Amino acid sequence: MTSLLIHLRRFSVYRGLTDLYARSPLARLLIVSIVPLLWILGTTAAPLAQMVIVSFYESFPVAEGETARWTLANYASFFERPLYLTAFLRSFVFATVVTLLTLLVVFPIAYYIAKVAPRGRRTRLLLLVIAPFWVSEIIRSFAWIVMLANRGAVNSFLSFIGIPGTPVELLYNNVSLTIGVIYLTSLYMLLPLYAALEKIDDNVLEAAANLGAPGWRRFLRIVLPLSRDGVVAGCSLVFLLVIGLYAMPQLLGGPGNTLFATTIGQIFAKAGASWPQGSAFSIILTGAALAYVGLFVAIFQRRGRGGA
Amino acid sequence: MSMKLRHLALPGLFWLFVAYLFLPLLVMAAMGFRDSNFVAFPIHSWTTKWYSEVLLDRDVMEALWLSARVAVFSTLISVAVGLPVAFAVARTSGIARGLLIALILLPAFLPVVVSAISLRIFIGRIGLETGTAAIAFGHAVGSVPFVVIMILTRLNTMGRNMADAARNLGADDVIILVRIVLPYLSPALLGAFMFCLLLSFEDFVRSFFLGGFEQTFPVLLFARLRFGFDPGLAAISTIVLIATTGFGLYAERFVRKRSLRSETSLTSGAKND
Amino acid sequence: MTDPVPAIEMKNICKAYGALRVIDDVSLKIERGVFITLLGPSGCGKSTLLRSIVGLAEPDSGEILVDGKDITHAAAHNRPVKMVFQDYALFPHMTVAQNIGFGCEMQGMEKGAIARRCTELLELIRLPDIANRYPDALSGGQRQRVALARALAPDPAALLLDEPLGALDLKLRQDMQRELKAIQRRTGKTFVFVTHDQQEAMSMSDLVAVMNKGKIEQLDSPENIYANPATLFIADFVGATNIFGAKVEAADGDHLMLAVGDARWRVPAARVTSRGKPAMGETVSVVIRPEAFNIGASRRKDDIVLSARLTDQTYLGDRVHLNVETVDGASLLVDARPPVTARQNAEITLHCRPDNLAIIAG
Repeated sequence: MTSLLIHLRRFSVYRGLTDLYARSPLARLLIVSIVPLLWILGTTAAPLAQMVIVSFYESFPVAEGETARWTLANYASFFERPLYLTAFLRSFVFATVVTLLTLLVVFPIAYYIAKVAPRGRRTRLLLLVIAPFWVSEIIRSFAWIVMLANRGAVNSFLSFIGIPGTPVELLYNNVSLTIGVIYLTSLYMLLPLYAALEKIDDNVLEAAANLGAPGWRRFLRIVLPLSRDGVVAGCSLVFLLVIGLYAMPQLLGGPGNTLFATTIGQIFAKAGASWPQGSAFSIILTGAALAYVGLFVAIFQRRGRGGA
Repeated sequence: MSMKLRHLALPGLFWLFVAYLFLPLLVMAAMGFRDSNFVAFPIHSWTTKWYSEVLLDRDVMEALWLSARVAVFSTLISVAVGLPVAFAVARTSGIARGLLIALILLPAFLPVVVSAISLRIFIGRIGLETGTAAIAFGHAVGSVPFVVIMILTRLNTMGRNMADAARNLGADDVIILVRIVLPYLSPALLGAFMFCLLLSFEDFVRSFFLGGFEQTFPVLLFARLRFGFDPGLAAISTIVLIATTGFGLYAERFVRKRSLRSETSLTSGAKND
Repeated sequence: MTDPVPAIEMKNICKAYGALRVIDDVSLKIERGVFITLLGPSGCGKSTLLRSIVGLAEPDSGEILVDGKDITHAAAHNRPVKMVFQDYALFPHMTVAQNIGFGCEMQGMEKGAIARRCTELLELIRLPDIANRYPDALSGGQRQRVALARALAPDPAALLLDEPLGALDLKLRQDMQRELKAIQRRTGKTFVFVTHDQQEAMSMSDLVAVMNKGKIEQLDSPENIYANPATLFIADFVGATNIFGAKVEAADGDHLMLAVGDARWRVPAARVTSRGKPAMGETVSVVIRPEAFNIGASRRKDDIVLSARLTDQTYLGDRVHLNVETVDGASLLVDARPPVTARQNAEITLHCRPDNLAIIAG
């Protein structure tokens, strides 16, 4: 390979091009920026712009020979029908609650792996909890169906140990959905938390203990502030993941508790549905979610460096 | 009190969490051996027929084959795009860099449904069909942010002067890329490659909205779960679970080993002689 | 005597980052086979100068010639000058042999020839057995020598070394200084060495160029740099120094009469080492090295005599460092040979030959 390239140098065209590239900052800028610009344009900028435009159309696709007519009706419909507004608010409440629950569940786990477990075993413990995440959302939903169904593992166990009133309705409600979703989100909380906790110098904790700070106080005054970046990153990731969930709520959630992302998805999945309305809803969801997370990050992100 | 917490409560919680992660999967795997047409407990008689039956299920096999093709295809796109994008990010600075990173990572922060739908509208607009190519492209959109981050992380550990040294010894930019930069990045590239394969293989939403008549495996499984459950679904899910988890663990190990070697050579400085 | 065509010639090189002039109109001719050091504090422009010779930094203006050929605008990978980097920049995924052979490979040399050249260089750096090791299996000193061999392998027109010993500990650094000098003699190559360590510069170089604020302040042999500093900056930067403020009161023939506080010193006009010569009534600085002082009364009439009080002394075996305070309240450093019998706070007399000082105008 290299010798081929060195042979290539005998040709003045190749030499000219490589020399030009080496010497001209403009040529480098051009070549280096082509792929990123095309990619951003083709996968992010243009589709989003298109979506914004479509959200103001009366109908899409525009019929042959006609010009598009503009309207605000798609946005107005969001406020007109309580069905949509309820689903929207439910999504935000649900995502917030699940995010906090995930944090609560995962923090001790991350702390254990990063700070308490013997150093040599940390990688193995981390892999142990990461491993189940190489499984798709659908398979994991199914696993929880098998667990929670009326004749599933949990009910079977409950009746086996003689609990009266079985089967208990465990599936298709917010509890089963929450259990399933935390199953999905904990990795996205675990990794940033672990990364942040691992960076905390053990000496700092020992110094605090040495100065007589009791356990809970050490946690509040030292561990939590020092892991703030991880908490903020983890919560943001989890929230954005939950707000966009589409499949799991349909498999594990109750029929009366539709989430907004599912609503949007169903607008597109159904034949003959209104794409402009779906686009408008998408933009409302995206804008609201990014603003919500942005506000959260702005409030809790560590200001400046060095201070803790 | 605090010692008790450290040495009893925390490990207890950890193993409880591990049980929470693994128990449903194990229960599902067991369900695949139930000799009955219904998903139910307790299991009185066992059979392996579901496992053998599922391997003869044409639809399942076709879905798996499509998923595999899409995974390879989208991974190739992701790495081919992620690499130059990472280079571009590494070369820019200041506001341009921030903007570039934000735009490249944006798809990872959009609700997946929105990202998938916007692509669906867009490809329709530019006259492309939904189907295999669209799914692969859609998966690449979701994967590129991760590829860029993985490559950048590695690129940042590369000695500042390594490319300059090669240039000084007579290597032009093509040779620097082929002989110095790519070999140095290879652990990250391999890691990104395997990560993308898994990411694509388990994706549901993008496949669902961008797919044509053919279904990828998660889409097929989703459709079947909406019809009803039988132990056969547990069997095939278990097979796929073992395959992907095994692959994931292998990838993790492999990449860790490869990157350790070249990192020590940089971090273990000149002071240890 | 030397080849008329210099190995490297720089003409009026300028380089600025915004308002900061990193290299300010530098011209320098480097003869073949010379070991020259660019010495200066960090930020003086020495590394940038080095990088512009190999094309890794581009000067705003000026010309660079290597072996008489203008390479100012040549691409970096086509320049015949090789460099040893501060962090060595060995390729971690290649063996030592592949690292050393890389430059030859780039020149299109055939495999057998590369292998022979590689063996030759491993012998030169006295590490013949490490060809198949990877850089992470080498010690710091070994890496340093491999980096040197790698840069020498393609037979460069000159070798540039950018603070290559900075990462080594003191003992190893001194060994490497001798080693570098020896390799330079054996290969006869032109070495351009960059450092901020004046001891390193003194011990290895044929010539030292002291740089400050983007300019070369003096280009001279190490002995002359030390004994005849052209500027106050050099006097202060190179070695320990005592500096006296003085005023030129009179000039008679080849002597100057200087007023230093209340004292009058008569010194030879030849000891003005700065480029500019002082005019009558002008203030000048008198530089006296710590070892130029002798303790005790002088036996010669023309010696400069000072009385001072001993404030502190440090015994170093072969010599004693004294801190003394003059009657004017200035504190001085004095290097004396043991034994020093004076006690703390004792009044002592110092004298110095008027030839052993330097006078810097301005």
